[in-house]
Amino acid sequence: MSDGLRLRAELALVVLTPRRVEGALPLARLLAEQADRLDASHVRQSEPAIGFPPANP
Amino acid sequence: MAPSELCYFTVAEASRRIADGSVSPVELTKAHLERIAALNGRVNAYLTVMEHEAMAAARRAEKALRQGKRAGPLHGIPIGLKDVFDVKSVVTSSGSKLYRDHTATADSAAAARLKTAGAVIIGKHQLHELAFGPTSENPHTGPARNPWDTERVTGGSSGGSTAAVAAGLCMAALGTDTGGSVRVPPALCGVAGLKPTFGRISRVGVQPVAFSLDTVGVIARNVKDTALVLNALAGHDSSDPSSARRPSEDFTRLLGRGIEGMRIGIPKEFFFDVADREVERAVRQAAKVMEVLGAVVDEVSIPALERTLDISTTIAVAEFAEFARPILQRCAAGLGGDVREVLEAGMGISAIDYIRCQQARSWYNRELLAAMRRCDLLLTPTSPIPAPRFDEVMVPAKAGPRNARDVLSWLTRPFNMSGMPAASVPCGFTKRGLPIGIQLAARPFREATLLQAAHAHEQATDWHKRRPPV
Repeated sequence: MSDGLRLRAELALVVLTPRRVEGALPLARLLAEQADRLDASHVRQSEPAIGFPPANP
Repeated sequence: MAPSELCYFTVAEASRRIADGSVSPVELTKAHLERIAALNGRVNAYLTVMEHEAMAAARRAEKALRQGKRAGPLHGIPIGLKDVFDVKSVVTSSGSKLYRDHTATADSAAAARLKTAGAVIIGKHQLHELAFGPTSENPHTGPARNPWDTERVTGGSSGGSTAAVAAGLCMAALGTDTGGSVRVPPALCGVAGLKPTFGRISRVGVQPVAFSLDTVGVIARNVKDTALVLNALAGHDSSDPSSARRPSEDFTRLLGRGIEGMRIGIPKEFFFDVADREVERAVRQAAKVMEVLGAVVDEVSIPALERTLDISTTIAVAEFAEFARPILQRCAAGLGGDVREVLEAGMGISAIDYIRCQQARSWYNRELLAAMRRCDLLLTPTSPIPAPRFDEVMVPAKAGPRNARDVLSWLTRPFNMSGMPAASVPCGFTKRGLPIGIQLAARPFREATLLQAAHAHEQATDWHKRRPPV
């Protein structure tokens, strides 16, 4: 995980939840890392943002 | 007839006997209430037993029968609800002490439909706090316990509902499924669970978790019972913006037709990466059963599946955090540790990451649906592992030890992302006697085909007939 990603996750948590529980930070880092693994082959900029629901297209 | 025999009737059998008068709704409801009183202390499936309401409903059902007014196959059938469904004048706790005094002022749409169908709502079930978690271990009310081994988890979050069905404490149950909650517990407890297509069943009056993933689902002891309950629930609800404008249909109509020529794909990627050996063996054996029944079973490559966790976790956690933000801000100390941890992490998800994952989800769903052009169904394990013990943190898996609580919902999430219908049915037992489930998934709104295949597998095996020792 890059320093930038770690910083982003930690900053967000410090600002939003100053009395956070112990496991929140590692999970936040994991989530940031997962989102960062998605690249241009998975994300098209012209894509409508919400992938679902198509219940009534 | 012994009360325990009554409680292990299928819905279809009980319904037939109610119709011919050999069993009465009052007798059936009483037998269930007595069994709950005897066994709930061991499995912790019920948070609220609606004894008076249930007996009143059973007496009404009996009176209606005397007047020749049978509402349908669910008339007089005791059904339980996960404690996220509103039932008028009854507490909806969502498994949280923050909601323990929240009394519903109206019925959820699903409860209302069950009542219209003549069902007897018998109580509200234990769950993982706020319906977000894979085990149904609940710090406020204790864990739901697996009827096959009460030292093991039921899976979650609809764990109490599934334990109740498996232990004969109700004939069917409604749960909700955001990442596998009506499929993982049935796999771990040896019963059937169906997550219909997103939008099939109204969510009005149901506590939300993640708005783009939540689906109401059915848990029962066999496939036909699942279809009978779905028949009563499915249909458009104009009060629910996510409700599909689809006419109701008879989901039992293809049961018994066999699966000759049906194309069933087994994904090459993802689903077997961490699967326990006994689970993999049982699932491959189930595929052979399907082949013997005439299905064309083949491997199918869907590389997008490798991105399942990268995309799904952020979406689920962000949407959950958005819903539960007021709870976290006002009374975080009242939350259990694991749920608080998820919510706090969710507060740190950026809008950029959430949008990125939703965009990737569009790509993911296209890839999944493209693969479904080559097959009618996908067949996978439901859970990569059998039920872990409460004290078990790491479990052995093909790719090395894994955190049991992490992996439980990995294999069910693809079909919450895509909204496709998916079901879990029993396909075997481990050497220790723990149930294993296969997951079948179909194209959107093809529940009838999904149930047809699940039923064919069920009729060719006898896993669903075993009863837990509780």
